[in-house]
Amino acid sequence: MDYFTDIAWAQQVKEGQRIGGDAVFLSRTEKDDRNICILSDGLGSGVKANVLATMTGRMAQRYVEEEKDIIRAAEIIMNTLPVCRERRISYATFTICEITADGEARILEYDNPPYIMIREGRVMEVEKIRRELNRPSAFKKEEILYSEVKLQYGDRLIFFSDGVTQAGLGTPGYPLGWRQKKVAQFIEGLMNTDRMLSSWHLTRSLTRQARFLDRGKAMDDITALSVYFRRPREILVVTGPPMDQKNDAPMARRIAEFPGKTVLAGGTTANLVSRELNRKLTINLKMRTEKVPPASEMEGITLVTEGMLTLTRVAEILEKKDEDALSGYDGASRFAALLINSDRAVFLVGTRINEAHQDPSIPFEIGIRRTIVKRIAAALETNYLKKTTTEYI
Amino acid sequence: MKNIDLEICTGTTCYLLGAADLIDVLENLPEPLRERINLRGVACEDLCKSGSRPPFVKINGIVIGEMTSERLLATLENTLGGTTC
Ligand code: FES
Repeated sequence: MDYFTDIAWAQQVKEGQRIGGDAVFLSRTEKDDRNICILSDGLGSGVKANVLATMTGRMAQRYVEEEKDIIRAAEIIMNTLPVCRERRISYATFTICEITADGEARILEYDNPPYIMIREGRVMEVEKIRRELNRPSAFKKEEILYSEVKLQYGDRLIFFSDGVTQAGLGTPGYPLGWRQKKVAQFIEGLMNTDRMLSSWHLTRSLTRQARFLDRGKAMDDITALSVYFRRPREILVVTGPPMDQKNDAPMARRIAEFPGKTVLAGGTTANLVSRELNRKLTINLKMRTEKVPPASEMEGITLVTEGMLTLTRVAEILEKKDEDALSGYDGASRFAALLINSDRAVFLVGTRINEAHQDPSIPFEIGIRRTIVKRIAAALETNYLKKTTTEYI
Repeated sequence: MKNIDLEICTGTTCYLLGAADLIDVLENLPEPLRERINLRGVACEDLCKSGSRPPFVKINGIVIGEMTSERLLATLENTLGGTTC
């Protein structure tokens, strides 16, 4: 089965704190291709809470990576971590979600708000197994919840901290906070507007709305994590003319026939494709910044940009995870946003040397195309957990 | 009154060497003047590899290199009759 697990999270840190007391850990195991997501919420806020949440999250991550059963992993964590003496409660609540290569999701919850499962755009109830723990140090009976879901295309699992469910607490509209039911309705509302919404956008909409209900100042750490199981969205990026002119036509055909989104980066490349496919290239002089030359439009191509300056800026945005840049109206911003909203990127790099870039009159150094593409691919893999392939022609 | 066809290269080298400023100038011209220019961006057509200097513009079909904002304004004034701005 060809699928992709789109995972992303977003956070609004409690007003006045620089560091969140909620921590998220994401990883993918090399060996058996499992995705592991952990959301933990440390008692209190600020640095101390962050340390607690981080310790809990790291332990969970390590145990699950080591293929420990997640119920067992949770028990070990709870027996290892101390209980807060004054308040007699655990130092951190947590949720562990493990998704196997064939879409089997296993979820373990300890005291975080229940996760929301979406199927066909609606909330779906999941049966959960309750398990009581009797720690001598604990004041009250503690329970963990375990559930399993066989994911289908389009399914989503949405996890969040209590900063989300308690958002707006004490305000006239939400005296008891946003609460689970309203959060679920909000997510269904998002699904009504865009059934294909990426995890990146969903988590941002959710955390922004929660902060909005808190009257613009987060009263607690607000964190959301989303898993979206879907068919892979592919993007083809073509930059540079092929070494051998014989390959011009096959390259253009490959672009025309590509099933996903397509980006052309580079004037020579764009002219070549325009000629081969007999499609007009129109430069949009408005779509630019001081450092990023104008982007262009061509029928059937998602985006056409200039080459080296744009690619360099894309690499910067992805490396720094500069999310503010993504809303910009220029070639590099749009390019980076397209990459983030795809699951797999194929880079087709032409290797005919572009003499222009060895021009000594250019005031600063422009990198080599290959190197920049490598930086972009690496940033996509490490910062955004995307899959990439690069071919040289 | 005749209009001007103005093509400006937005390729890497031209953009770095001044086309960015030229576009700024053109976009901020007073309306009556701006309306008489058919402005169009073009991708690099390898003029920058020909030995002459970027940035390149093409005014009514004639290629001019090493274009600067001052020269561009002067050229526009000459071509358009100089009374509009
Ligand atoms: S970049 Fe303008 S001619 Fe090459």
